[in-house]
Amino acid sequence: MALLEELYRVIIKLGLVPKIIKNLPLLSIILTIIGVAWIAILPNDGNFRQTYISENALMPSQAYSYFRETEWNILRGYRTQIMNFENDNNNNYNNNSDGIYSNLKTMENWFLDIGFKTNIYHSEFGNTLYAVYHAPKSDDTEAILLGAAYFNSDNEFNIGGLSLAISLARYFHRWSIWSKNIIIVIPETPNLALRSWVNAYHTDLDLTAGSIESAIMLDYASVEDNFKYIELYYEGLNGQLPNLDLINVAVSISEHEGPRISLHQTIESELYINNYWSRLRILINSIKELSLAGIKNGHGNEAFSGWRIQAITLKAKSFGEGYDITTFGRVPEAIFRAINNLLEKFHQSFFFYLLLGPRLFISIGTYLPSAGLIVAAFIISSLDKILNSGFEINHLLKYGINSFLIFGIILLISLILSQLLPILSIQLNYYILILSSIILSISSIFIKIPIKSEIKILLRSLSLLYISIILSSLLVLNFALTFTIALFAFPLTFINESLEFHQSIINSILLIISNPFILSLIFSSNFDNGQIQEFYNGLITSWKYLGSHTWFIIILGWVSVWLTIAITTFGEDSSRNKASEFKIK
Amino acid sequence: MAQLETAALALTLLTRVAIPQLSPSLTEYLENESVLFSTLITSYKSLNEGIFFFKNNLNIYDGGVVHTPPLLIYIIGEFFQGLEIVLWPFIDVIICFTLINISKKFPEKKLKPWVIGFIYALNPIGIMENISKSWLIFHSLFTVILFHCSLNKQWLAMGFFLSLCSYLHYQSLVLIIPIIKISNTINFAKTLFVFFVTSTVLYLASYKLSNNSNLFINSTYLTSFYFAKISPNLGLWWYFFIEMFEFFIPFYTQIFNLLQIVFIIPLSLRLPFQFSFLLSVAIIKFGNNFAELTDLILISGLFLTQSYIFGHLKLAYLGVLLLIMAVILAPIFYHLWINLGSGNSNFFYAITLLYNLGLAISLVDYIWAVLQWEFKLDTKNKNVNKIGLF
Repeated sequence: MALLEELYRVIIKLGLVPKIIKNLPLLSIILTIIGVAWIAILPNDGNFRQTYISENALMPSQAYSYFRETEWNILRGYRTQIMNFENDNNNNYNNNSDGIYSNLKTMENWFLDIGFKTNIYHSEFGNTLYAVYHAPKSDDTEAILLGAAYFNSDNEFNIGGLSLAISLARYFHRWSIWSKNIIIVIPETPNLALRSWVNAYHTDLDLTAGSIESAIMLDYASVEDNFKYIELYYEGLNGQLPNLDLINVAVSISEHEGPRISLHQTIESELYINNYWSRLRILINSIKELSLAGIKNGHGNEAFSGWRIQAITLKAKSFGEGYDITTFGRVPEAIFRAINNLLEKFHQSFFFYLLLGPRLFISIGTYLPSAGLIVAAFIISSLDKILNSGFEINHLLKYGINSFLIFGIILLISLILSQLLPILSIQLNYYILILSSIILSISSIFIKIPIKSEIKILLRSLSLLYISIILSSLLVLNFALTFTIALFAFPLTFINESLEFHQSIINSILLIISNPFILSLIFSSNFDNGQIQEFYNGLITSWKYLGSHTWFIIILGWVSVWLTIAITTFGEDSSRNKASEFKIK
Repeated sequence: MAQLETAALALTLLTRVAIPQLSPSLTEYLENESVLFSTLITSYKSLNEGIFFFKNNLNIYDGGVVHTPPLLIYIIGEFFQGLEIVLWPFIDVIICFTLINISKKFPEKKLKPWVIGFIYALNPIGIMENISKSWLIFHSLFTVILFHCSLNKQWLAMGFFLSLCSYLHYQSLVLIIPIIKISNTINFAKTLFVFFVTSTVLYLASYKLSNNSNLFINSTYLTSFYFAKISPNLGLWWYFFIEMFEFFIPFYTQIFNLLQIVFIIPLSLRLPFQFSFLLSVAIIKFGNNFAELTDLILISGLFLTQSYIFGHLKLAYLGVLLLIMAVILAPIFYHLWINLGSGNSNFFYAITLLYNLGLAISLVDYIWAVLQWEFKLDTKNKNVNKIGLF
């Protein structure tokens, strides 16, 4: 207390308070710039660290991997059979699901022959075949999962992945070393079908094998025998990440076997490059992908989020030459051997990190301040709206209840929107949303409605405070989403009284560049088809079926604030003429 | 004014009855899963468990999951079964009404009584706490009534309500210390007599209800006293009772229990009654072994009645902001720890530390404000020797 007292006195003595209050907008901009610059500084030497295996029990690649030439023959055998499926898929293209179902049935029989217990789970999003091996030595409470989707995230037939999964299942079954059960999962698609299976596994399936410690999804969409490098996907829904130890194990095993690991679509020629720009690119991509997790087509690992399962996806890339397919099989084999050694759940290493390269990471303490500073900038500009409004605070407080009510009604409208929009047809209401956003932003130049200045000020301040509270509570849960929203919503803080025509135009521009729907036009270009509705579709389906909170936060946290501030730009205080209002400013 | 006060009471009832009807999922979450609004001792779930045992003529405390005093189980189970959705809101209405009446006692009031009523009615934490149906609200009720009685110098009622308070929450026994301050020997003897009679009746009834055994003492008071079934909560102490520190547990038990009462005597000696009573309640709640937000609502409600002090507060913004931040972040960090597994207990404990820091800053600031107020009053009326109201 004495220290606070002392500090208080010094601040009063130097007359800092009025100076700071006058410069609040500047302070807010500076904080945001520092916040963004922070991200740019992170890839510099000294800010990141080398990854290391934190859990000693894992011991990756300590045992020799035997998934080699003999198994290759078996794998080729399965693959030849599975290649017939492809004809099946093409023949019955119109009646696809029946064809796939009969193929799943065929594969189920193979699993039964090997000695697994099997079941096919039906859901509205597709069927999922899964097979369980209750390891004789285990206490039957924990399991490791290996999965390969029938069609991968690009909707290609996952031939290599399927044949690897089955031949690995056959291979694993012969070992006596397993201390955890083994589950092999073959969902129709790696998104909704797998997600509904994971939910069902934890709620109402009869054939289970205990809690799933970790899950590895395989993606090898080719009949070729060779591939060059492996892409690793690790981002989960709602900002969740697998334990860093699992990624470390995967990277160290893969590079021990030969293939390099590529993160966030690093192209082949850049795999060996490790400089500032490569690290920055991976960092920015990881923030982008993490904030879009669930919205983009998932690779399979997303489906396990929320159930305490550490999940990654391995995707073979660049087919035709390089390492043979058994190498791609030895990677999950060795990961399984490593996880098999675990006595406890993954807990040693980091759960909050950003990767700069396969073996480089930043931990939470180092990157969190960047988004934290931008969130603080919102609080400061919220204060600025009130303190520099030209009104006494006591005078403003009289309008407090009114503005609280208006803001409450807007929040209620956003809540209704968030529930209503997913029900409506996607394509139609997407264009309506973009159009109405543009109209709302622009028409304030021409149309004015009477709103008291005091209420406008309070509404702006209140909504900025609200978004800062939302973002600061989201900060630890989902750093990437917080950072993205904070950055793109920041122009809202510049919106001020429109006394003159040019300020009205600036306000409209600021509103346009901070509207989530209009911004999604830019985001959607990133998607495979480049289609806007694809983005919107992903946003809504991920909320409805995957349990991702992105849509809800965008509507309730961002759109509601945007709407409030957009409404304030319409306001014109008729009780004061323009000249007197100008004087107040 | 009277109409506005009635409106506040109606609003209290309306919000607490209507919101659970509008959003059943929120009710379910608050009743079953929320770590902030009830603890394993006070939760609605455990109360229902007790009622179930009781109705089926089983020994209530056999399973070791019920820590509710037997009389409460009996009364709610026998007379209010099915009426819970009205009972809890109704209790809040009485608390609100009593708070309004208390604030009228002080001539120097700054906030109008109806404003206090409205703040109590619309406080979102208060609403959620009511929906969670923690039975600690009965303790809040008796504490508020005890305060009201002692301001009115109703000596017999004081003894009665003090006994009820301590029956539900044994730490409240120390509230007798500020009461000694305002009473002379005869009055105190009256209070003490009623207190003993009521306590004996309560004890005998409880003894009878729990199949003629003293098992309930073990399950209710001693569980709390020895931190026997400590689980994560908003309080400061649960963290110290994890396996790692097992060696020190007897030490912690003594110190943490001592801490709840050690400040009360000096504060009661120094400060006028109304403040020493408030601060005693606040300190008991601050050092509570099973803390929850019901405590915060009780403390803030009592503080609101003394609004003439608020002008002297210096760190009010800091304290309130810390509390708000902690209340928002605590469920998130708990979710990270328990549900997602990506956080750990330290995350949640850090937030409870923040919460308690906010509480501590507010308390210290409040004491400072009281002293300032006293000083001003002292210099204004030089001839008045006695300070404060009593």
